[in-house]
Amino acid sequence: MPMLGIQDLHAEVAEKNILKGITLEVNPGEVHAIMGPNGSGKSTLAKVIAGDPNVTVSRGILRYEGRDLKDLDPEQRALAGIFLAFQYPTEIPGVNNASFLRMAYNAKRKAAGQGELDPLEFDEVLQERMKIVQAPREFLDRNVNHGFSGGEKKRNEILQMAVLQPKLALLDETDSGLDVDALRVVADGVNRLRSKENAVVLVTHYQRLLNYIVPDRVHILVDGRIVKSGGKELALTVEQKGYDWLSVHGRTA
Amino acid sequence: MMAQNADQLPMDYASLVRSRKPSGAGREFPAWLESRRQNARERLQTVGFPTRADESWKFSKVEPVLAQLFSPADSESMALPDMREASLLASEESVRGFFCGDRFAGADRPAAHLADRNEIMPLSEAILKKPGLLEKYLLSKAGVEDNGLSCANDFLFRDGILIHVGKGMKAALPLYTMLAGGGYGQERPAYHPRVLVVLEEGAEATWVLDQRSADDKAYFSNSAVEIFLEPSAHLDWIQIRRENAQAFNLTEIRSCMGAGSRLTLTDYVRGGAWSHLRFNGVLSGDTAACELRHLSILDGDTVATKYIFMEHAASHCLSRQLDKNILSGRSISEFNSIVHVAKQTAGSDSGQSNRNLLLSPEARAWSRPQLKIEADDVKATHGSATGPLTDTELFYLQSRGLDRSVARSLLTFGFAEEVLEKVSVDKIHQNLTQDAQSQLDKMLRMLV
Repeated sequence: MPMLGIQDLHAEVAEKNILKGITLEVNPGEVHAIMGPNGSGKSTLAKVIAGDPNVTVSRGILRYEGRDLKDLDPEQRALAGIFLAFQYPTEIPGVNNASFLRMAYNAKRKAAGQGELDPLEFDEVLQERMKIVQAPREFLDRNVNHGFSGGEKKRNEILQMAVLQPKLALLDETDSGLDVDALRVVADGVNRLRSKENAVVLVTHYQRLLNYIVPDRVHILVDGRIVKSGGKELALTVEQKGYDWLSVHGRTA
Repeated sequence: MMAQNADQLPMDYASLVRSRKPSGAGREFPAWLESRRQNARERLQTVGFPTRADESWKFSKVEPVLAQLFSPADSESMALPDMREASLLASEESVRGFFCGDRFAGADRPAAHLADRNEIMPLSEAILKKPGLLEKYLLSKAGVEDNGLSCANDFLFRDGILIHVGKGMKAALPLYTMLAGGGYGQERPAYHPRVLVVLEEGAEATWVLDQRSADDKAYFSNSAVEIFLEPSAHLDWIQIRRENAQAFNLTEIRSCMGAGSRLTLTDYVRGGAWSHLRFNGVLSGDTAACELRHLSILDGDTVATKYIFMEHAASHCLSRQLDKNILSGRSISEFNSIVHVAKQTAGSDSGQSNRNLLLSPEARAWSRPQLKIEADDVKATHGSATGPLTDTELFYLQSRGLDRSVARSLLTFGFAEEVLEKVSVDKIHQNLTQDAQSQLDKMLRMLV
């Protein structure tokens, strides 16, 4: 049984069909890259897995560890090990980043039947996880994403990922807005969090992220459908030739 | 401005005030003050009471307030409770003054600070002890942005408090003033408390004004606050307005800010039946700065409105406004703010931001940030956003494993905390944080 099993998935945003029959399997230990032009549905695919209420599944199968995801609220999916690093993380003024991380961490422990950590105990965990993603200490004193630059927000998403240690991480254009140095730091963090037990789905417009996080499989999404799948070399082909050579049902996207 | 026809509203506040002469004439007040009070009474006859036809009162629902059967309080016969126990700051950590209605109810200062030259005393005493200071400042800006209600305070106030920090002095402890409204055994009394704050050149102080109710009876507090910051003075002012569900509160502020001075006001409102804040600030000296932060937490039928007029009258002045309101039930808020940048000023920098979080479909938030710019070299920003929590915000928190009710609570409290975190006195910050948390929890529980 795959960790993530998607078959013929159709989904709508604001009554507009965005995903038009996606079939995809992701197994533990794998890294999958979803590439495609703007508007192809890449982000919608990540969001529908995480349970974004703005995305409605109209048809198809969406399973995680054998469970039908459509039955689960976003928080239940998170507690079951799914994590979405947002393309545009929400700013939460007035909520301290460290407190927020502890709340999320404790919610997960509680769901697993473990005791909650107090701020001191949690700080030890946090210190260790911050090293993995080289997050600056001052992140903790600030409010969640509030006043963060685009790049800082992305790093903060990866810090959350490091703290929550998901089984299935969905990274939605985490590379956008990052300069080369920041990209390398984020990619290093993601690589260090990889294991045989967990899986990563990278949504990206460009190939450059895949120089740092090498995928097992690459899927090209055009107009809501996966039009081509292949190994990591497929990303290089896209880099050279763009997306126009890929057609869907006889149409060029 | 249209005058209200008082003759057809016998016994209401407006007509009672109209027919009233300045109280205590010739007995308590010196001639210069008597003349200013008499002048205010005459101005009232000219300007009349505000109506909704006046843009600056448009959404304030002031007419029903004026039609209420409030009558100026008989403060002499009031039985005064001891409000010291209810003080937010203890006697050893602040210099305190207490008012019940508009009657002075005592002041104290820690023994260690008895020698301080920072004065906090009732105006009735200051008139005798500091006649020169009072003649220079008290009611000196009367007539600016006049309205019948401010005129009413000008000629009906019988006492108030003076806060005076001398040149170059720094008030080591926060100054604390409690204005406790209430029925005090009277039927719908109206009070006219007055506060005069003077910070001499280079003086610094933190001042907490705690407006609250001593009981659950109906009353109208029509208060006036005059603030004078001489060059390089710095006042950090925290105002708390927590009143009972029958309380009507008008707080009229006039502030004159000299060169290099700085005023920050953090204003917290929770409860009350009706409250209206009017802030008239003049940045009168170069590089003066003023920062206004406001948080309202409103439910039921509460109305809490604000009218702000910020005048950049000199060069390189800075003003910032952050106005946030959380509304449930059928409550109403208004942010009506004008920044005026005068001709022949340079380098003005202003920002107005109004954010309203609607927890109920019946709640209303009016937002009118406005700019009147007559100079060329100006930086001005303004923005406004009103609405409920969005699915996108909630989803973000849910995607981190927090359930929807926790997510909603966190976002709502975070919305409030952005203002609360600016409160510089730790003990007041803790008190307001708990107050906001408990009120928001209550409001959110009712939504479930």
